[in-house]
Amino acid sequence: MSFDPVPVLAQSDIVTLTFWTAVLASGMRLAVSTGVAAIGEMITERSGVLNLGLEGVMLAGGFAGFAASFESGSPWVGLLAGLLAGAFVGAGFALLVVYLRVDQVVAGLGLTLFAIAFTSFLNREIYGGGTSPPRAPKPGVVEIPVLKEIPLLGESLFSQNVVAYVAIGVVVVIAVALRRSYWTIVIDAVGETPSAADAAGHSVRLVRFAATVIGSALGGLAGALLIVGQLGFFNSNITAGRGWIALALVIFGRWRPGLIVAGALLFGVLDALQFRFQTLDSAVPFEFLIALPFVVTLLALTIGSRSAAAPSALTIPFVRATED
Amino acid sequence: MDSSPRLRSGAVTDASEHRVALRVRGVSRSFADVRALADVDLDIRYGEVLAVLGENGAGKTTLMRILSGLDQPTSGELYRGEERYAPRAPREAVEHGVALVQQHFALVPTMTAAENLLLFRAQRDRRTSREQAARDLRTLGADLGFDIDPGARVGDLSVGERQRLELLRALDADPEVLLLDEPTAVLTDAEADSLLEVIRRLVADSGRAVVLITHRLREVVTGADRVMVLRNGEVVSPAAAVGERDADQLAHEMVGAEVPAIARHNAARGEVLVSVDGLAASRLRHADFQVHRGEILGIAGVDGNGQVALESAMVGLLRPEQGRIVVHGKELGGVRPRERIADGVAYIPSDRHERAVVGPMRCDENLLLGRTRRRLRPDPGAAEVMAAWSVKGELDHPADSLSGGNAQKLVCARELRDDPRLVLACQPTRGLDPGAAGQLRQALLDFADAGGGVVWMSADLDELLEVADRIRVMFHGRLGEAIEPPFDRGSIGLAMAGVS
Ligand SMILES: Nc1ncnc2c1ncn2[C@@H]1O[C@H](COP(=O)(O)OP(=O)(O)OP(=O)(O)O)[C@@H](O)[C@H]1O
Ligand SMILES: [Mg+2]
Repeated sequence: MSFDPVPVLAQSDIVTLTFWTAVLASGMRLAVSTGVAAIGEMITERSGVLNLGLEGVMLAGGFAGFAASFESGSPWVGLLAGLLAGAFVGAGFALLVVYLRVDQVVAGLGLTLFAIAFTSFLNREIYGGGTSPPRAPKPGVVEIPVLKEIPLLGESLFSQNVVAYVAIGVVVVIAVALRRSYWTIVIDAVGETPSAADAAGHSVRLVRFAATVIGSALGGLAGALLIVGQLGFFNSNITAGRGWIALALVIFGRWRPGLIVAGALLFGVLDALQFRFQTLDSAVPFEFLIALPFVVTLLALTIGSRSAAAPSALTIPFVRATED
Repeated sequence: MDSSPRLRSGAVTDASEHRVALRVRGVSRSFADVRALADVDLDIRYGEVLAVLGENGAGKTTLMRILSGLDQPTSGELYRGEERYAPRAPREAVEHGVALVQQHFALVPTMTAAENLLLFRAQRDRRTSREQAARDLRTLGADLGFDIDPGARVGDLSVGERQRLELLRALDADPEVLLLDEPTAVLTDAEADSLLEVIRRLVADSGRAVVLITHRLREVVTGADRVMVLRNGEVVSPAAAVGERDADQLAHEMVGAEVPAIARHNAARGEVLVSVDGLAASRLRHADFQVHRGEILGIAGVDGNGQVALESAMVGLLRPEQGRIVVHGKELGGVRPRERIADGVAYIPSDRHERAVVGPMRCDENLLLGRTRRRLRPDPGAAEVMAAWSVKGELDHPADSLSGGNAQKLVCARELRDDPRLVLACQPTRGLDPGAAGQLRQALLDFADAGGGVVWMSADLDELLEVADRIRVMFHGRLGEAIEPPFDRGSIGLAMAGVS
């Protein structure tokens, strides 16, 4: 799943520091986009809306990001386009599930299926969709001298591309804002006991709409980060399940930013690891290696979700007692 | 907006003259073909407590929801002072100095007390930090003599504490008009008395207008200045001074007839029906008791002493850590509610919303809940059962549309419907009007007369003194010795407070 250039390995390389430094660095890169998507989905879910269309939102953001950066020549325009595309798709989804009370599971799955088909259609129509797709401009790499030489972690923390730092910034700002903010209380109340939030004078539907749009905007940004920040090209269904992983990470992280970020890093590193192991001439079949990150996620989920505290009103539309 | 000064800068002016704070004129509210309020006129005045009485489903809650912006009238007008007042949302009502404490808690159980206070503040108040909310909660609480820990999770608070928190957060907006919908329903007598005292002080000190809904007529006599009675959505007795009227007279006005006294005909005790040995689960530390056929065992206790754990364990919703429960010679093992139903154990839970009705489901479907494995289909007997219990509501409407008391009646109707052996009744008359409470008490007495066993948990000692054959007091998770009649009210009351 990683598209970093991968050197062919020999068994003995595994024990070297260089090997692990590289694994961590590329794990970090992989964690960035799933992490941002998961944080966005966390906001949405804490308001009581489950967006199973996250995979589709990421694809839409990814394609918009690719097209915008390709046409404009600037990765930044791409990120902005991804963000906006996510918000736009999210607004449509929120309109359906929050105001028209369409079943969230049905609408979410529908959104994902639609986005897979629609983005590959557009991609084929506009960019030919062949085996050697056009490339978007690559963002520059920021290298922080001295610090990046720190063994093991230096490369992952201090030698990433600009875009990754933006993502990390976004996540940190959100995590901090959520800790202290009045709006966290409002969002949580709407997801937990909507009737109480309603009695307190907050519009349950408006809060849910906003939380879904914000969450999807981050999902779109995550898609653009993947395409513009890492891969540089778009292909049919290129997100390859990252939206689903992000959804799982929200549960794994129990709707708390810190744990979600940790989960994203874990998944990223495992993914990077399996990719490197594939080139290793070992007895383990490569299918197993590909499945490894997913298996670990699944295990973490089964263990983690035993005591999970999902928002009580997740997926339940809000109707005031006196409304028909 | 009314011209009188806000309360933090002093009392409402001219409170002594009992100026009108809120005027209700010709207000009606219909839901499809149900008329919940019909042409209601009412003046709510500063400086007094107005009690609103009425049977279950009379329209009391509907009126409060309209006054506080949670609902809008089908026709009619409201005036705040001299100006037209038509709140479209709770926030608008609060801006006009009107605040409501709802019949059912409007608190987020997963959040702290302070966070719940914060939730009710508008963003533009600019008093939106948690520290500020915690400080204000302490100050407000201290003013009223409540001790509430701002950092405590609301889910961990007792119902009494939650009710006090509800009052505090309503007062946080410093309203001139305070609407209280059955604030004492879940409280013990002592808690209710102290709450009433606080309410009286709020009125006396700052001249606020308070509307108090309650089914406990004693509270009207001691706590209210004026009283009005609603029946079937109509004002049957306009607001007038409580004066010399006593509880019986008020009950008569409410129901429109004498409330019949309840009677026990056959107190013979048969063989042992239930025996509980050394039961421990969660907050319940130790319980040993037996219930015989034809017996009503009263379990008295203030909420939060392990009653919820006991009821949950007995119906298979909580796995006992120790001990066993044998019903009719069969051990109730593990967590199997379906088995419990099949074994003839009927359950009227203390929290009907959580455990007994499915709000969005129709009333007749709720009557079949747990009683059928097949697809729900129209139940020919449903209308009859609803009528027998005088549940005011439509068969094909969702249970959410029932008034609080009517939902409770629906639960009782279902649980007593197919001849159970044992009824576990937990705070069964909470929220019922005197007529309905009498009917339920009589139904349970009849059930015991016919040889059924009843475990009756209640925080209302007067009720237990009237119905129980034996009483045991629950305190700190432990069940005291069986007390046989004649009961000594004083010593049982002390035992409930932990004084032995
Ligand atoms: N959303 C609704 N849909 C249909 N009927 C409703 C709805 N809300 C209330 N009603 C009906 O309006 C009537 C009045 O209900 P309300 O809740 O005001 O009664 P109440 O006097 O507060 O009773 P209680 O003492 O039991 O709380 C009831 O018959 C109820 O079934
Ligand atoms: Mg009511």
